[in-house]
Amino acid sequence: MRFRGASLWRRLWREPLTRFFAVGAGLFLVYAVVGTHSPADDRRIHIDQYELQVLAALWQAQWRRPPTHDELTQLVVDRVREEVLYREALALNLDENDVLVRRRLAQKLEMALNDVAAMIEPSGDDLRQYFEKHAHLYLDPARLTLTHKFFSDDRRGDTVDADARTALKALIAGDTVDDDSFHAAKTLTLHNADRLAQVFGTAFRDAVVAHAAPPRSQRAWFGPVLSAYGVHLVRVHAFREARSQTIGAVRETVLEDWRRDYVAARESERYAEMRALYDVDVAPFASIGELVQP
Amino acid sequence: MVRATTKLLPVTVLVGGLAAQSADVSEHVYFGDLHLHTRYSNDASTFGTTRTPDDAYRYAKGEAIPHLGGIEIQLNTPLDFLAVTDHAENIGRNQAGQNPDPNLGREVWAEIVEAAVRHYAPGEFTTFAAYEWTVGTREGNLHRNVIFEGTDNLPFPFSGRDSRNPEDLWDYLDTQRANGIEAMAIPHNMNVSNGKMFALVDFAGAPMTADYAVQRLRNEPVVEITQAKGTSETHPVMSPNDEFADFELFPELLTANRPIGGTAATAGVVRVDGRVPGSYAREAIINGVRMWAEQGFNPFQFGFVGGTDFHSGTSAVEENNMTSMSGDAVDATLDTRLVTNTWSRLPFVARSAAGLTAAWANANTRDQIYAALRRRETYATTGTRITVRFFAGWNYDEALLDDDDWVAQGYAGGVPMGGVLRGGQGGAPTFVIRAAKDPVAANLDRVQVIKGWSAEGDTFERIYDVALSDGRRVGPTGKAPPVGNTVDVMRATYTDDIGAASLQAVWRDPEFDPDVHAVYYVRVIEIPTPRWSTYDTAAAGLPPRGDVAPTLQERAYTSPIWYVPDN
Repeated sequence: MRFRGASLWRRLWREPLTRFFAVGAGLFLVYAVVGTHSPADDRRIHIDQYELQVLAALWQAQWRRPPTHDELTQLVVDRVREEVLYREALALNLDENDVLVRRRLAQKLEMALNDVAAMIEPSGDDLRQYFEKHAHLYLDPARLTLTHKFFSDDRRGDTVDADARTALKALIAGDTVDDDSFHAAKTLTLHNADRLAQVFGTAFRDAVVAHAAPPRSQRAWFGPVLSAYGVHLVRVHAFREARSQTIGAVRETVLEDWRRDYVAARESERYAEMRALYDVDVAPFASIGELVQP
Repeated sequence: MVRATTKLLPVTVLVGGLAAQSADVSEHVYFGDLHLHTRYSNDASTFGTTRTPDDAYRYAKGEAIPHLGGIEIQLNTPLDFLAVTDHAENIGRNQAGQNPDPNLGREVWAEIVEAAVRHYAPGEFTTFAAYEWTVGTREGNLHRNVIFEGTDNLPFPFSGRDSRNPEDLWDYLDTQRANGIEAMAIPHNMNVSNGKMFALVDFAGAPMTADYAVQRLRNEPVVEITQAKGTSETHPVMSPNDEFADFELFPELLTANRPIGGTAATAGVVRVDGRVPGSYAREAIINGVRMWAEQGFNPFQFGFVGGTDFHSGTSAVEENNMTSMSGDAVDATLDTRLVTNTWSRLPFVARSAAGLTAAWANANTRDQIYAALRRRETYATTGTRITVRFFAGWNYDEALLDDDDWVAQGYAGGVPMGGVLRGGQGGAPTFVIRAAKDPVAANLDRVQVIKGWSAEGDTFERIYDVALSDGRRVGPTGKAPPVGNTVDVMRATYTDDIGAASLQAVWRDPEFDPDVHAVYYVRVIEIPTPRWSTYDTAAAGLPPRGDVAPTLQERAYTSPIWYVPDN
């Protein structure tokens, strides 16, 4: 594994977490020099040249031109106002028990950790092992072509099942049958057999795939098969089972999946470390009923 | 071939009103979301969304992805296509901690386009490079999504920072088209535009011209009429005789009462509802035929699509599987959805688990889906996958729906949804309509044709129930009895004991006047089912909320067919 790109340190510096630690270190130094924490420090707001540059750059990014002097002055006024309100809000502990603040801060930490992990590149062996372990995720799906006859529930009511069974005998005997017209095609080729569910419903898909796939490999007319619309007789002309692919055919997807799992695993590890620092005490509960008003 | 069609379309639509149809028969319908935000939208990031475009595409394809609380979420039925449409304004900046790096936007845009390239699987799953042009004035919403046909050599988005005038966006799209980059803009949330989206004047307030109409339609062939922030089809004020008009309304202006210089947190808590006229698609298409008749051009000759506008990176459009619309910090867990969320002035629960775009095509490819949008052979649904065909022609066999090749007859003998029917020999045209339920959802209540026309300067609408389930008939009042309601609101269950699996009609307009321009579209309505908020309350063992309807009737709205007299 290695870090991608040469800009890691530049990226790291752009990360809010890095800034956070850098600012923290700076504060530590200040306190070390000045000595004890004094209330006056809490009341000092310093907008330095770097922050002015940030305000001007954000404006430029937003409006495609630098701010005027008056506009920058107004940005500073707004920035100071936000800072004053922010500190007063903190002093009143308004950040506590606020789900938005809590989740936002938790996410900022997660994202800062994840972005570093996302820069890792796997070795060829890492990727191959991952692909082999998860081969079932990279199958080329089953394909099939079928023709069906349709017997409408709405149109035939109680006789629909009997009509279909009679027609099945005729089809097997090689005769033509008089079925009902259908809202979708009577002959379909699907590059993913799962998608039968989107046309006919899940029960139809499951029944047809079970007939079409080995060991049955049914190629003659069969039925009745129920859909959301009525009764069908089905003839599968071609069925190709799902099959595995080479890593070369799916490398980009595997890489994306590997990286996502890697990031999640690192996040879990870091969380476990942080979690170990806390004693957690949850009130016992036996049933939801005692917690929720009916 | 496709490109030639797209270039000819705007001319044929208006000059002489020739039908913008291809001879091709579209065999399949594909369902997707053309409006979804990820962490690169600044508001989504603020709402706690960390999902990337990759996550959005994976979820849309049907993969399970992690969710807040350590669970995994997955669509019951995968989508066929998706466009990630992050706000172009300061794209990605909030997610990156207000990063001032001037190259950030370009890096983020490149990542969005690369994700669309990576997840495109022709024949299986279609992606679009896209973004939202977001002009939120305090007076009303003019937002558009920009959808690119391709993914090569795309320009950096033209955003609401470049101009707040949609006509400038059209100029930008025209310029791109001249350079070989095809794209369209899709307006949305007309319902909160305060009457501005479909105003009868241009952006500057001047009367519209034929040139204006041509440019508008060239760049905006379809509009999004159902999504999280409500319905833009019509409103009870506009359609007092439409008993289905009171559906998932979200009238409140998005940024009204926010003091200048303030923040979301200090925004006012007073609701301001927008102006209704000029804010709904039905009124606009009827005004359009009036202008066509009176002035010779129609600026509102558009088709319909649906989208989610979710900001959670997940198109969780299924009512019984709605896991988050806005983001982790707002609505990703049952508790946050059930308590009244103070983020917006309307209760969060007023938002809808809607909608989808259905596109008729022959294959699930970017070219084909885009071409369907171009020729308006699309319809909108509120999240369900109703299949609906809609044709109009002069000489259809009344019994064609009994034939296996009825679709081929439909195309050969007339125009599909989105098309224009020219004058015949004086008799009324025949409309062929066939609707089938979502195979994994509820039965159908009815199929309606909604007609609009104008006479002597006034506009009119009329709704015909052309197919009803359960043997019901339209009574002397002109209304059909309600289909009933099987929903157990405490358990959030329903049965298909009522309604029909499919409905169809071969219909003639009993009041057809060959000399009058008219517009027709179809609305297909399901039987009542639990609303997403009712699935939530049932899961928590609570009674349904009192501030929204506990059940809803999901629906599909087809793109219109226009009738133009021969004169």
